[in-house]
Amino acid sequence: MVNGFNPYLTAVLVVTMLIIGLQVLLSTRLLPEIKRLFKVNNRFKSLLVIVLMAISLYFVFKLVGGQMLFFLIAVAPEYKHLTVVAILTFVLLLYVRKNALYEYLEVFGSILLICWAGVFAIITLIHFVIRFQLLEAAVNLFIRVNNIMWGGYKVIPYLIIFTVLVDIYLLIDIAIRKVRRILIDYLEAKIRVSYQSKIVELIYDDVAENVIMIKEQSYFKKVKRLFFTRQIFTEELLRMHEVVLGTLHDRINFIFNMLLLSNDSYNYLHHRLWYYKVNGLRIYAQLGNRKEISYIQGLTNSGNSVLRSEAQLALARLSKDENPFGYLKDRHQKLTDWEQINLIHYYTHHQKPVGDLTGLLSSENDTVVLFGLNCIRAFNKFEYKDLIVGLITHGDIRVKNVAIELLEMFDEPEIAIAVLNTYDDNLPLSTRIKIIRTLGKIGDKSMTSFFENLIGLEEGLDISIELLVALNRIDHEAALELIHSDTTNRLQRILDHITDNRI
Amino acid sequence: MEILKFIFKFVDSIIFVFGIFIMLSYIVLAVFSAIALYYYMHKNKFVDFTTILSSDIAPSVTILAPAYNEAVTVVDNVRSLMSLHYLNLEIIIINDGSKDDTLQKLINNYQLKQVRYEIDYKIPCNEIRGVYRSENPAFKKLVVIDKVNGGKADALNAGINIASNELITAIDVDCILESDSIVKMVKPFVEETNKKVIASGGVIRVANNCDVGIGKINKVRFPNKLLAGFQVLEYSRAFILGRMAWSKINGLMLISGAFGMFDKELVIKVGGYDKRTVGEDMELVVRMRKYMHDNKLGRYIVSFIPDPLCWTEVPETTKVLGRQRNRWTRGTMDTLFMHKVMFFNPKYGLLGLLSYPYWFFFEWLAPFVELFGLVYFGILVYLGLVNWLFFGTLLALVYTFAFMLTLFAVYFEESTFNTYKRKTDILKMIGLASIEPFIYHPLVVYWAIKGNISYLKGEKGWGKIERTGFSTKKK
Repeated sequence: MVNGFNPYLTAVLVVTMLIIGLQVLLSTRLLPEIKRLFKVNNRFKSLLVIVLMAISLYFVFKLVGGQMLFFLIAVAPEYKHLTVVAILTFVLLLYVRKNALYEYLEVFGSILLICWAGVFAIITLIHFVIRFQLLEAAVNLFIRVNNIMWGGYKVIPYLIIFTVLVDIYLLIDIAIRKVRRILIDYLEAKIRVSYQSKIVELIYDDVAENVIMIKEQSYFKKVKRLFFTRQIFTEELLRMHEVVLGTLHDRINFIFNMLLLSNDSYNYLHHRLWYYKVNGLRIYAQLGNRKEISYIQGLTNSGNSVLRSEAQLALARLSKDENPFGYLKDRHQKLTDWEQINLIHYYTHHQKPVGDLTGLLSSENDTVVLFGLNCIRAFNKFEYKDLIVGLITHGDIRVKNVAIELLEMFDEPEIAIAVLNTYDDNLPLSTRIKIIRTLGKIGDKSMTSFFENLIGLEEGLDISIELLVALNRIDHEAALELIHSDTTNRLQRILDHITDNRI
Repeated sequence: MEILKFIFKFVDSIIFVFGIFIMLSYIVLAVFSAIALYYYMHKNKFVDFTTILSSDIAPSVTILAPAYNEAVTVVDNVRSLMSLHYLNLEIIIINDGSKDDTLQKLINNYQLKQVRYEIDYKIPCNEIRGVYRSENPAFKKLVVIDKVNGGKADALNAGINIASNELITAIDVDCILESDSIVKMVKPFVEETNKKVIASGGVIRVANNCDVGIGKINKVRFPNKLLAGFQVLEYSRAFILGRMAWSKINGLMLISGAFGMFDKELVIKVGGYDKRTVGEDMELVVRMRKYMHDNKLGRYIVSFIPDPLCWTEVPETTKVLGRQRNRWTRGTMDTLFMHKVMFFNPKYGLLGLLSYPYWFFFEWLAPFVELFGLVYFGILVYLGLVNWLFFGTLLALVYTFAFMLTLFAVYFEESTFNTYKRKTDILKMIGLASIEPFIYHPLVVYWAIKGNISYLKGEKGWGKIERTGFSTKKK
């Protein structure tokens, strides 16, 4: 034991080191990277990383019971050599992180440091709570609080050193990010140009030539070796896939597999982090690769809304099912408007058939029913008239509103009567307005009295406007008569409002 | 003497505990902000916002821009608004009884004609003298209201009465919005189903010294004036660290009046903006949230978008900045006192137990504690009771902590949106962060104290705002 033993601060150090180590190992996919380096061409480097990490960890654990690692030079010169090892470990970790480029999580470093701060603060607090027996001294609370302050005096230098270290870290990281961004932009632009021409060369060559080129040329070995270059090559291939047609798609898929890029996309898709999965989904969808379709279908029920939405879009691209939305029928999770917008946009944009919507319209999930109705509107599906009529009494107000709105498409007296029968003064304003608007379009003169009565009862401007518009459509004379008989001149003003073309 | 000693120890403890709490709260906010940013950046990495543009399902939006004596800038600013990318958009400019030729300039430049408009005063506001629309189909989205002067809140209420769309976006007419700002602000409203999104706020950025074209920012540059530079840091801290974190835990109480989107139906239900306060933006959000709790309307959220979407010119002189801060302080006090029932009230959940007390202690009370600390320190010096070593250490801690906090904001900024691309801009930010605690912060405290005094004196006005217009400052 060394003088000034501080188990708490030491614990903080160890936890921090472990967190950083774990973070690098787990979040940057370092392990496969090390394995690959080990297999390919850089055994020495990998070995060095592993050995040095092991040595560092050994010393860190040996240090438990000693001083805080970073203050060793200042307070315990005899541990100088250990400090050097610790700093070396950090440098190595930073090196590995830097090497991982795209996998270097932008904000994670900061979260980690803030966590460090939090842990540090909590541990210090616990330390003083125990040290001054605060919990046991309720009677002398004030004196003990005061003690914290003067006890705190001892911790203040540590806090200062901590904040200064964080400041230094942040400054260095900001500088690295700035330089790295410039470098990456430069490198990306440079290699993208060369990749574009290589890809064009590859897809217009014959297959046998492709195989030889990819296997023999050092150029492609480099592409395969480095994650950064692989990623850019993948992006370029995907971009090319978007603009070419027909058999060239198959050729791009072939090149993709030859370069073993499919391993990356598989790893992405099965990664534990959702945003990697999203990346994988995009690649599978773009290349039309159906190998993992059942796994992708499973993702459409994910708890993560972004992943769910992306899985749906991928499925939309990959599915050859006649009813591409069949999987939504039994869905329990709500379908957000955002998901609906994306799906409808995709099917409209690509003019793909949406199949039978009966299942959606009869779903127990209100949002799926709503999606079904939105599809009817977007794709002009007139064949679901009866189902839509059935939905105007639906319990969900949004479903009800859209169903009423959709019935404008069917100019039939029995539908108008069904809509009229749903009118109730207790309905929300938006529903009442929708009913009036629909009736104005599909109703007939038999409904004149209904509108005349309502105009007398409804006071809101919005609904009055709709009523007058509707009445004017189904019975122009009755509307004029009503306006002339209005002594308050309100209806005339509303008419002026409606008839001013600029409104 | 013993009593005096006891008093000193007591005061020491109070200040120390207050300081520790404020520091811890900043650290916690930074953690939440980092988590929220991390998620947001990943979530929107692949998003194609243009899908909203062509969708029937996407909600319709009305922009409300009150204008009072804005003749110098109004034409360019409206042009900027007209270029926003959104399909179902209505732009309402409210001429709040300007004494200059704001209205005439709009009429001349956008070929406006007064229309016969039956106005439904759902929210009380001063008389609307006329509603104008353009004869030119190119300006179909534009509506101009001319009304009797009643202040910003009254003008916004007039706009709400005319607005025909589901969502309203309140902006300052002199702000420059990014072309995709509406699309990004709408997204939270369409991606939630389990909770009702009642409002969405955006980050306000400083446009001073930026290269400004007609209605858009061509090139972002760090301000060349010291005061504006400090405000860049302050805005980064407030928006990126503060509001982002509050939004993460759904405790956001303030959406800036310069750029915020609201559910119109709910705004009307709560009675619109409150004319009695100069902090109408904060007051509305608090009232909307309170209404949701009082009427047990279920789960809701107030969302926040960290993208740089709205650019504004910040004051460059201490005189104008002082007036602005004075107003902000009065607005905060108004809101806090108007809704004092929420203070540590569990009925309002996180809002009552955390957000409100935070604003009360760390936004409103903090300047007083700082001032008191200074006075107290003076007394201790006079009595020769200062432990100089302790003082120096504590000062160093506070300084390094303040610097660290600003660096976090710069770091988040750099690692996410990278708004300031030039290396010199980052250096300037770091340089200013190092001197900010000594130069800018005391001024902010002074203005906050002054704001409190003005409030007690019963001042209600906005103070004079001078507009120079971005176009005159083109680089």
